[in-house]
Amino acid sequence: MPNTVIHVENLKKYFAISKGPFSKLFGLSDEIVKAVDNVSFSVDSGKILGFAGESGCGKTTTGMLCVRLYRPTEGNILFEGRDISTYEGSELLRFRSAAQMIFQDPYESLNPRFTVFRTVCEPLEIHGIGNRTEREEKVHTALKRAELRPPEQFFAMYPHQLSGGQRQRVSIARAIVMEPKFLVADEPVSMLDVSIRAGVLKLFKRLTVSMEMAGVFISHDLSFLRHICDQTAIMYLGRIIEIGDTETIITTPTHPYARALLAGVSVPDPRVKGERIVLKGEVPSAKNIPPGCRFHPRCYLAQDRCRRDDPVLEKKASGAEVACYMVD
Amino acid sequence: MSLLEIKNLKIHYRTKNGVAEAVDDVTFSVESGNTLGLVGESGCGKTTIAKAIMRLLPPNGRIAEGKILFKGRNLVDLSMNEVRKYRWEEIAMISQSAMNALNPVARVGNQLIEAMQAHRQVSREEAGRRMAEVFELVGLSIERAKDYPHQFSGGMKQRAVIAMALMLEPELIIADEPTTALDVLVQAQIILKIKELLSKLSTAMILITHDIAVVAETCERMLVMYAGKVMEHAKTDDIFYNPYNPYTLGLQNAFPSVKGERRELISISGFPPQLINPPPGCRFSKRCPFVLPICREQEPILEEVGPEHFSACHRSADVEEIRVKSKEEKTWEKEKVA
Repeated sequence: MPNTVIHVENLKKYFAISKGPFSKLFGLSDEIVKAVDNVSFSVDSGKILGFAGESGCGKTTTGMLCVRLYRPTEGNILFEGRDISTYEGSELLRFRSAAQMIFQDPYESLNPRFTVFRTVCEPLEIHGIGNRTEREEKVHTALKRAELRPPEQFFAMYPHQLSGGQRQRVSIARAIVMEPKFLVADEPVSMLDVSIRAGVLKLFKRLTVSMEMAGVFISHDLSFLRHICDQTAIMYLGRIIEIGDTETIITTPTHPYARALLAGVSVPDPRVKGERIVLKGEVPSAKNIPPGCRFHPRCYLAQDRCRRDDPVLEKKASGAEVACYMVD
Repeated sequence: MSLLEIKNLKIHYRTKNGVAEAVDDVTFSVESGNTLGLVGESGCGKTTIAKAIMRLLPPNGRIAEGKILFKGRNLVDLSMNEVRKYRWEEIAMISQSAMNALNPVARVGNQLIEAMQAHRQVSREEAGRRMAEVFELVGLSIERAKDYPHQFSGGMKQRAVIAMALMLEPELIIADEPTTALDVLVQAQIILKIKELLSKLSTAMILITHDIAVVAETCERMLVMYAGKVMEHAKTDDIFYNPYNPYTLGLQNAFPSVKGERRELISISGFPPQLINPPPGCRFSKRCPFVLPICREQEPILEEVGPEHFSACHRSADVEEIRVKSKEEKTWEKEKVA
């Protein structure tokens, strides 16, 4: 019986860009950026859902909404059955102890003046958990789980004494010290060197399974998603345009945008000569989303209907859910 | 005669903790019209080599030994005045985060024109004509020449910087991570553009990157560096299908792909050695699962292991066994984690 940890329904996040006092004076309204525009998905415990797409597609905003670093404009976020989308104050604090996020840059997300122990212990202090010895034990366990062994050796170290991989492992230790049920990682290995990326990716996967967390993994690099995600969602201009089993989407993408994205990934094999799909133009601004299917101005399959109607996700032949009228 | 010949190059950085041997005894050459991929992780010395060729090393960096021969002339001995003549004229560089290299308060087209006029006695009209040519080469519409950099997208800025490098028709372009900061589709577009340009023009290119997939796609030859040393140097196809060096094998294991069978990724545990008083022997020995006592004592030399194929490893004779074992995850497992 799958245990759904996080269930998101029709999630929207609009940002208003103020045009300044003069425009207001003349009655001009603010511009609206639709960063996330009607997104639904769910993640079971022990599973990882990956989000891919180009910069500005809304994947990071989606991740931040899920752990309530933003308050959604509309839509519901059910965490273990309870809607947390409008939580504030102490309720929100309690939810956050169970939902954690890991960021891209381990050089910036760790306080350079905090020792490893203080960094990892801080969430326990904020949430008032345990006494000194219990906390020490929890920090010890978290570092061990993040494969920083032996943990005691790292307690008194500062971030500048650690390698990039070790820093990211400290971020992971800090995220799991509260034993959360839900973990979001935003490009956690993009800043790391090739030879150590694999280790951090696998660690994320292993922890999600062994600690029975629901995981969300955000990356622009589809080859990373392939190695750790059970399900993958591809986003374009604030919308999921294809979602389904990772291997299905990587090997047989259906949506014309997903196909172009996959064809654009360089392959570490000089004998593979992939055919590139060149798209017209560039991603439009999220301030001004095209009518109909938002991908139609760049789409090589677009017909009249695509300019008029907005497609919703439907199950297609590959088994994935795809928002497109022109493919089966 | 090769277009560029680098012989026994050693580059040292003075730091407050001592002298860092950032590039140690590196030798390679690039022929006219050829492409060479320089691959390695951060701190392996690949960008330092590029800066040395352009004579752009920071004040604490110094070419301690060796030669950089460009068309037979040793660039190491040239005065700064002479350097200015070949820099951009004959060798151009597209640097890391080149997108931020454009002047934000000058029109993009003017920046290209000025770059040309700084080097050659040409009229503004003539430079303008050349600007229109290179704009077309990189696929930018000439109407956009009047725009400022902030009106360009990331991919367009990158193409503008490539256009600038092409202005003076250099014989060698050094591209340092030209696509790293770009989105997948824009990256694909730029790679296509670079490939198209190289086939049209007779320019040679050194592509510096950590991304072996980009090299697999664009370069004829490939040089794998680790901690200031050349580990392996061969045709790109040989590096992928006939690799000799354990570091090359480790790098391939760690690199994910969206094509072919999905396989387990294997990381290399540990991290690169310090470059100030590096330990004796092979610089990869601390992380290498195939290490022998000799590896910790004696530095391996870069020897020819096949036609135009060089590898620096004491165990080149055991390559068959090493290749088989390197595919197994347990080979690379070690107690200490990076």
